[in-house]
Amino acid sequence: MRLEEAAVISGVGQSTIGRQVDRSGLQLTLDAIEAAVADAGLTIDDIDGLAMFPGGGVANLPGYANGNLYEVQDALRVTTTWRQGQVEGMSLPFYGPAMAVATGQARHVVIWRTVKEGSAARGAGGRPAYGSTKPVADGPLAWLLPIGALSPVVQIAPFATRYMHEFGATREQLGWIPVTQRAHAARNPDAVYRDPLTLQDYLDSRMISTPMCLYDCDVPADGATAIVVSAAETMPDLRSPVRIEAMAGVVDGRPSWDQWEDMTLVGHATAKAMWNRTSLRPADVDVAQLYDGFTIEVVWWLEAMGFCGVGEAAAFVEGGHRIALDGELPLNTWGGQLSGGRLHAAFGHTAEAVRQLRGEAGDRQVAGAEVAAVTNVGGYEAGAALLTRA
Amino acid sequence: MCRVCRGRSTEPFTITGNGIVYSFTVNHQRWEPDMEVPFALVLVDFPDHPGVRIAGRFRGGDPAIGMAVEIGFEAGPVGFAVPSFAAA
Repeated sequence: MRLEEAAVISGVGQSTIGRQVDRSGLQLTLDAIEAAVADAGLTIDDIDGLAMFPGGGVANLPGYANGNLYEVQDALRVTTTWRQGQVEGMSLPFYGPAMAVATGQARHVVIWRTVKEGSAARGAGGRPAYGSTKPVADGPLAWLLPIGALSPVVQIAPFATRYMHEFGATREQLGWIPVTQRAHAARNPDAVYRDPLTLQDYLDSRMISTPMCLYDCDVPADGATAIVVSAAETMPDLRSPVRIEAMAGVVDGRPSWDQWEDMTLVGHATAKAMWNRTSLRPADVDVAQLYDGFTIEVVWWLEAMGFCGVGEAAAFVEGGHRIALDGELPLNTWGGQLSGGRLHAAFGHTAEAVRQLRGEAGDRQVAGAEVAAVTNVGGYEAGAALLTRA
Repeated sequence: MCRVCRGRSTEPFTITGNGIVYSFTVNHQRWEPDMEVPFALVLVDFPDHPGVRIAGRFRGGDPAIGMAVEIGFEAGPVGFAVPSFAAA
């Protein structure tokens, strides 16, 4: 049996999400876990696996607010047979938990991601930057922090510069990604920013690190997302499980932002490995939740996943019609991280994919959604999956 | 560890000559209160040394992809020097 067939996503839940939410990271985490477990049709006592991203108890950016796994377990009073807290190498939120339930290490695993980056941004007078919690330059950022690349936007901006240079893509084209996603966010009561955004607003916004402007960056937010992954054999006990059709996470380049060899090609090895595990094709995807820490990451995944050819993403999104709710590939239907809030690491994307497949996405529901794509980051942390209606 | 042969005996190696700008960004956001903005950062490849890419500051004017640049250094944080490039 393939790994994917042995696990299902049984529940998703979120805390209140906002620019600033006046609750601690631990409380937000518990809010999301309770919601996700109830959504699965389970009770807290059914949970025997706990996982979080990132783990390690170390905040590597201000506002990483998962709490500590021990603290959360103590609050929940659950007995665990499998746990995981990892800083690197998650791939997708449900990947590790799926392996745990598929191999019988646990039956119902809850994994969570909690951010208080909105509050941290207010405290810092702007977007949180590396440095305040990480004064020593080491690891993959050792050569970037000392030259002033203190935020992911600065580290990833050269990918956009190179892509636009290589293919002649313009801001007038790429701006349709955040503009269209904002229109989707308007239909999502939980999105952080819901007011209309025009292409002119996008073009007029201030530059953060060229060519990326304010609206190319996701929104620092406060909020928690929890996902319950269950053994497939428990499906009769579950309210509305969603199947994992295929998933993969391949890193075939140097695990570094500055050393990634070809900055125009990101995510391709992951997408190829994912498609090799299914007979479905890109045209079968009804709704796409593609990681959007920055606009350029959507470009990577549109091309890597084969929704358009290499170098064609700018033309694909121009005008916004193809990626609108009634388009051929409805994109980031919750607003994505660009408008919905930086819930990080494809947790928000996974929650939305599950809701779309169940028909529980409210005013932003894509009619008849049966296959959803979910991707995470790209580059040195990468994951891609197809989820399907059970 | 050597990125070609995984040998464990490595040593510093001096590269002279120009590099080529692979990509760049001009940072406008003041991430720290005393940060002077804007400033340009470049990723520089060295065609004679495949696999070597150095991230650094860029001095003088606007960088461009494909621009030949010469190696230099400038003052960085807490007394360290950081790589800094200028048009060749």
